[in-house]
Amino acid sequence: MINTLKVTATSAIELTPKQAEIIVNAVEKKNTHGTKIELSQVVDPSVIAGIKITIGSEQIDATVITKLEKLQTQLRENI
Amino acid sequence: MKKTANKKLNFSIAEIINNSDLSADIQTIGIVKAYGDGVVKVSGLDDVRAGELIDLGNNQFGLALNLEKEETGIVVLGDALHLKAGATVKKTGEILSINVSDSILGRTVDVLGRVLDGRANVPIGKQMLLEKKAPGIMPRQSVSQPLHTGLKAIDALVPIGRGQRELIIGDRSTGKTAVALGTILNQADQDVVCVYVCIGQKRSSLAQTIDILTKNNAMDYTVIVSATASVSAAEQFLAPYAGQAVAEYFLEKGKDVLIIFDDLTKHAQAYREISLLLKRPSGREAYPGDVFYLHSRLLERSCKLNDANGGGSITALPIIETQDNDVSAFIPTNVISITDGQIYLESDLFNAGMKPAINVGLSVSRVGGAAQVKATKQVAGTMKLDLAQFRELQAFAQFSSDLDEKTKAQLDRGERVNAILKQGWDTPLKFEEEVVVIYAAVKGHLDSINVDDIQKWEALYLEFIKNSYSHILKSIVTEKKLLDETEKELIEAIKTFNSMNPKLSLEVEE
Repeated sequence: MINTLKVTATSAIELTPKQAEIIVNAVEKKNTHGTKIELSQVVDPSVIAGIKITIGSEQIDATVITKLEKLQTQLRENI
Repeated sequence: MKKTANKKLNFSIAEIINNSDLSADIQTIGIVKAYGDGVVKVSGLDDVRAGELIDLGNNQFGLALNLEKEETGIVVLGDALHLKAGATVKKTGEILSINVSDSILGRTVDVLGRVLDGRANVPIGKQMLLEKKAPGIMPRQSVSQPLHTGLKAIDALVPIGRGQRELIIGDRSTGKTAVALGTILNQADQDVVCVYVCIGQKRSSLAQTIDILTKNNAMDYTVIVSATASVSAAEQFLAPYAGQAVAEYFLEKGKDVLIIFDDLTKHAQAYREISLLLKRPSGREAYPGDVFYLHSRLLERSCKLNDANGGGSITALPIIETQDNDVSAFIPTNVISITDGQIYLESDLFNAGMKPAINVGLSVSRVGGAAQVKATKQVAGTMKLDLAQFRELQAFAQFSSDLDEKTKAQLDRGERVNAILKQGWDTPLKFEEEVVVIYAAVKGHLDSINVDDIQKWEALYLEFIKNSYSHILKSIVTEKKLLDETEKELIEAIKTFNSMNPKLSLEVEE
């Protein structure tokens, strides 16, 4: 039985094949189990820009919308 | 003018924006599978720890309670109406804790340390863990110092020591909270920090409590941890632990702390609600199997530490509400067996005008006797027995009108001793005042006083002693016991007072 590691990349516009390859390669480097990586892409304009990558139950969120939200909470805390 | 103000404001915002941390880091997330009744079922969330705080988004948090193979059960603190199936929640890596600093005194906070009194946030101090192991055996010391409640009936008959856990138990509206509040009021000059934990009570009652404490300047040394009836069961379940965490902050500073849990019946009910919703197996009265541990681990954290460990103490006064005076129900028996004694309040006594409505026969203090001041012990030594005898005779006397002189005298004495124990909860007495009042009653100096006038007699008598014989009070405070010469003077004082106030005496019948 071959386990596959599900990776989701969410971005505002569709990724180019080159960009997708970079992501798969980067995840492969971190993935020590040698399982197959299955990349699915989600296009969601509400993230504005940037990318959100979900690997299993881990998430790296580098979208503009999240950054704005973080900024909002930090501004609220300081004012 | 306006322009410069704008400029200043813009500058500070720019500074905040420049200094803000927006970096993307790796987070562990979970996907919401189901949400209802305050419980969220989440898949994913690898490596989540039991009791970990989960970020539900929208500035709401949850607590991971059930860890299973495929999913995690999270109880919501607050409300999370924004959650949808498929939404993501994040691990925070934090175990539940509350921010405590010295300036928390006088404040009202919730279980997560958020302020509820509309004033500024509590300054960052120390993060105190809500769930913490109780101090071990070695740092502990036996209870040796009294904690005066200011109520004659308690200080004389069921004395409480610092570090003790004394249960206050009784039906609804028998004055349980009043006893606890009176005790807080009496700590004004005792260097004791008070923590009042409100669990599942009406907001109006809590507002009233805060009002009373503020009016009596008791908020200066009191912290209120609030989880009223309108907050989620999870918050009510956590409130006593949050209160204990606040108490432990002051314990670490070597302070004496008094903590009141009002009340633990509601706490057990909140925990039952959570447990049933998490589908944990239920036992007697539908409480889960670990409901005993729920209270024992909480009350075990009350302690008296030895001098090497700061010498502080946490005295706990948990409150339990019974139904129809049934102390053998599940939760009351549990808590009775955990605590070092109980103060049993009865509705019959309360309705008969005996306030505080303490049932002397059923109330006990298992360790407080060692901490009682010698002077109090001297005057109250035989009081419990006398009162018990009086009750027995009283029942007996109802059947016969012809009583011999001795029995009649005993009944008269008992009636007066009983009457002297009546006291308003908001008029606490200093222990030296209690000693002189109880002395007069148990030594028979009140036998000639009209029973209905005892309260009046007491007030005038205390005034008289304070004005004319204050050195007696001073001697009791410094010596901690009643010296022979002080006793003689006290007898003289009482006699002088009684002869000065013949109106209060019974008319001599022939």
